[in-house]
Amino acid sequence: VSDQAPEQMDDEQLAVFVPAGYVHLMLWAGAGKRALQYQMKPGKRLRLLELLNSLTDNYFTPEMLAAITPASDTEMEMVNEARSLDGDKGCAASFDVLTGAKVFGHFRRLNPSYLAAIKLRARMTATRAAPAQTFGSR
Amino acid sequence: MSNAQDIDEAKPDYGPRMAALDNDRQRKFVVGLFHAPPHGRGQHIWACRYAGYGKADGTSTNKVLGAHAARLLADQRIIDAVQEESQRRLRLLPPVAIQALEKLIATPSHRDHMRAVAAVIDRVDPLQQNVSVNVRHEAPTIEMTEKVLDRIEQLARRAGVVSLPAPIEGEFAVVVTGEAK
Repeated sequence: VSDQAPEQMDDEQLAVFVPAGYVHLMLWAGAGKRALQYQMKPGKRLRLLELLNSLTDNYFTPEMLAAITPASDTEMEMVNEARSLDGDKGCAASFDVLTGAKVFGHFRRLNPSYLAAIKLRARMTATRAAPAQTFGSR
Repeated sequence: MSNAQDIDEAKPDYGPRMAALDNDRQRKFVVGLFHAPPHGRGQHIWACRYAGYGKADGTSTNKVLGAHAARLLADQRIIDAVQEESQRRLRLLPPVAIQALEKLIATPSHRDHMRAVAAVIDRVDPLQQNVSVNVRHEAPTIEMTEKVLDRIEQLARRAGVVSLPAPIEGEFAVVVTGEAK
């Protein structure tokens, strides 16, 4: 964990200190929001909304979820490329690829809402609107 | 006391715990515990009398012999010797058990005849179960991961996203007298 206060960090540093699991969650939030743009049965839509809602916790706040915009075609292509590494079970291989600093850097530049969400989190920590991050960096 | 006389004739080679007892009377007491009549109470008193405790003319009361037995059975060495003797006798039981089993198998009218037959067959030719478990772990190779990372890089470039160097990397220059070379 950096000694610097979140407000003193630049964008790259802020992104590096987001835990890999939450990077993954943010990417899936973007993918989930994209899926909501398509036509689907109300039951399925409700299920997807419930799943999106269940992603939030003390760190990944509902405000951050709201800040993330739907994933673009390129982002989905990148996600699908990474998913091609996964076998029948689990997503460990794609997790490692997607949450890597370089690949997540691409995602942040393709979809600035990820960085906006991370900055929002930093502001919430600074104003004590949400509990501080207490776990290790990525 | 014909039973006791029979036992006297047998001079087994005792184990170390039996040999560690003080005298033959204690050893006979331990052996007597195994030979006491199985039904009813008083096995300890029987073993005590058999070992020769009490008056030589056999007039000691059960109360006296019971006290002797209680004292002996509180001795840890006696307890150890009983355990050793139990194991020795257990190892000697199979011939008797096999004889009983043979008798049971030879008696089809016995209600446990089939159980005895099944027990023998299970031991001679037990049922075999083959369980085959295939565990497949398909982790992607380094080449596969590299290929995917390249593809992601291409996609990012196509979308106009320039790849930034990783935060740990950076350019440096050797500075001589305040100037960068």
